[in-house]
Amino acid sequence: MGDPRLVNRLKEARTAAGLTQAGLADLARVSRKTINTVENGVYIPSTILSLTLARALNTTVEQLFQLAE
Amino acid sequence: MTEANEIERERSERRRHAWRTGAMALIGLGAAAMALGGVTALDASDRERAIGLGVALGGAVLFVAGAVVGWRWRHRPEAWRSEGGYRDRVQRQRRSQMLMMPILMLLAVGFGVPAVISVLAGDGDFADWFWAVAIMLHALIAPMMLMGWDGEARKQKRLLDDEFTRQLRGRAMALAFVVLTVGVVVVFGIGLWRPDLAVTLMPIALFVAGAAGCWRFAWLDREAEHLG
Repeated sequence: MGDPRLVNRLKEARTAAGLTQAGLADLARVSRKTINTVENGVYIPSTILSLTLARALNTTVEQLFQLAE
Repeated sequence: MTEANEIERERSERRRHAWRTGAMALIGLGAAAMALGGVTALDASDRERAIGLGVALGGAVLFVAGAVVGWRWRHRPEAWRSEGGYRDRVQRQRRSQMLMMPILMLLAVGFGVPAVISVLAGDGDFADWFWAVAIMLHALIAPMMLMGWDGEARKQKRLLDDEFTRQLRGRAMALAFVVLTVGVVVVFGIGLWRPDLAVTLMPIALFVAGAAGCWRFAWLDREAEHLG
């Protein structure tokens, strides 16, 4: 499910916001497991979920996810 | 709540969950042993009847032990809500149901296949017809649960139906479809040789496909939670 072309900064953004995985999961209304798999690059979230995560962390999708050079 | 507290709480919940899973396995095994022992004891010689009753008694002990363990480590909704993470716990509970479903289905198959054989032999009574129909209806439960179409899943849709779960569900259904296709091809091949045997094997093919889907979902869900 993961893709090496994707650079994922969700974990950095979450810890910078002072949130636990469970806390972010509550804000995004998904399971902690979903956050865990996204952070570890196992699962690539949909556009909707990416936007939801970005909103919960008060940032932009581009700050969370980028294409590798 | 700090990260360390949260990890400890998570560990504690995992322990409770492991106990509950063990309890459900005991209940399932106990029920299967009771059914098997009961069926063996019917229309059998004295020795076989004694063995069947022994197996059924052992099953009853396992069943009661499982119920006691399950009660000791039961879910406590008031505790979940106060601690948060309710969605994860509901999803974990769902995974346990997916693990146990095929074991319960096996019971129906155990009753249904002899009934189908009796019906095909032309000496089926009302009970045989009932089980022959029930086994096919029962086979629909696994795919319905997997797709989240059952009553509980609809009631808990908000908690169970996130996009990651849908992805796991799709992968599990893909495996179930492959297993079903292979099963139907095999049953068709056997049907060319022995049509009556093919009809008997049809519910087993459905059971294997449904079980494969349920267990694949549970496996993927557990893997995602632990390995991430």
